[in-house]
Amino acid sequence: MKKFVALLFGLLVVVAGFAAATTWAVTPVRGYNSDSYGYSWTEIGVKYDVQHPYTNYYITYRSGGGGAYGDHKVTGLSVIAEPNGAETIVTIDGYHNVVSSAGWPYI
Amino acid sequence: MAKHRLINLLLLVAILMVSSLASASEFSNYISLTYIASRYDPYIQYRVSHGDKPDWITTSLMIYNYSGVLYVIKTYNDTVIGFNLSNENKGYVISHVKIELSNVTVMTVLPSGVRPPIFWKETDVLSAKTEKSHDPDFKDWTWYVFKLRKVTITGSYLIREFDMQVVKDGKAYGHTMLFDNPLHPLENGSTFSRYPFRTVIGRVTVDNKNSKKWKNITYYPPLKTVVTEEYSFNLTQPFGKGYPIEIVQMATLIYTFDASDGKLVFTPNGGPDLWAVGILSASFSDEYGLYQVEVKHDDSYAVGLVLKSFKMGVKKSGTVSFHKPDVKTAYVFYGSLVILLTTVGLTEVKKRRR
Repeated sequence: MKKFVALLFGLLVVVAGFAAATTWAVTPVRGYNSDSYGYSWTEIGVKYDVQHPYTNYYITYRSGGGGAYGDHKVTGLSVIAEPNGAETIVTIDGYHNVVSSAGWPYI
Repeated sequence: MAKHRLINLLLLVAILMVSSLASASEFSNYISLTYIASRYDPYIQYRVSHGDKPDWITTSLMIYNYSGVLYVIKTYNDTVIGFNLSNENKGYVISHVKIELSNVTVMTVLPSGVRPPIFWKETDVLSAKTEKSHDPDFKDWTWYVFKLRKVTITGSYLIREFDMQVVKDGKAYGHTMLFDNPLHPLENGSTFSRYPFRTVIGRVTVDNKNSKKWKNITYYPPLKTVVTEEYSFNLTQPFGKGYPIEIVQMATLIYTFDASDGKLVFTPNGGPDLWAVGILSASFSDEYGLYQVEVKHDDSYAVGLVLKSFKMGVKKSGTVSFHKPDVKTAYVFYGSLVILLTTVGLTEVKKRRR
């Protein structure tokens, strides 16, 4: 009987150990887009559970940027938060938008 | 002799009527201005064929502060904004804003215990989704994503006539974006907006030659474009640490006015008039105009949020006549034409009899 309890206890410790030892990995996810006016990029930082990468994860940062080609000029640059990532809108010459986005799970 | 006097009198009346009509084309005589950023499928197909996600192609992207909660609003069909102007005593004009959006995605993120305040009709909800926040600093927050058939946002503010300031709850937001007063025009270096974002006019250009068009409408020169100096701001959801919704690293305000009477013709952005009703950030894309400019390479099209129609007449005090067509001025004009032609005809007939 004592042996059986010890075995059960041992099993419990092992299971609990597995459950607690989540292995985290970190990766940046980038999105890029460009056309004849200019370009736009978005980058997010993702910290995910290696065993459950698409259900157990955190977005650690959101950033973005962009630029214009030739005589074109950037007139606006904003980064908008989305539930699973971000979207960067680069406005060129007042009216043209170059958009990029990055998200997790990466599609 | 008596007939001559009569003819002269009639001519005088006709001239007075026409001249009064001409002088009516200024700020105080506009009773409504309606702008549109329209959806145009060929433009969407063009962008998608170049690798853009359909989700990115909007007619407007706005951040709206409703009851202290910030919403991201993306509109995929038409964006229509109407400004209805009526007289308020003591040198103020009241402006009623009506923003009509169709095929809309509305998003927000909130801490636990705060429900998103609703500014749309439940019957217009196509889908509603929640997702727990994946931000390590905002673990107990929740994202809300609503897809809506349509949304109408309304609000009002005052325009102080002597300096054209947008005023709401006693606070001056800045110069109205709807008019550039020809008597006191916006100039390089003049302060444009004051609250919540301060901007200064950095560039003014006047085009005396080229007209712009949109579908069957022509906006004749002179057209005056003003551009502000760059500015930046962050919009954060005002709970706890404050969740960053939009980081605007750089923005400029650009407006093109009809320089003959000062009314706004088109703009890609919002401004004090929209900030005062809670639209703190806005980007407008008229896809029809963009298609002509980017695909057909025809620069003569207006893009952004484009003046679709306007009404002139005598402002009513405190009342709104949004749906009432303004035909009075047309009657006056054609009436005076008829009088003019009749008098000319009468004199001709008289001459022949002699």
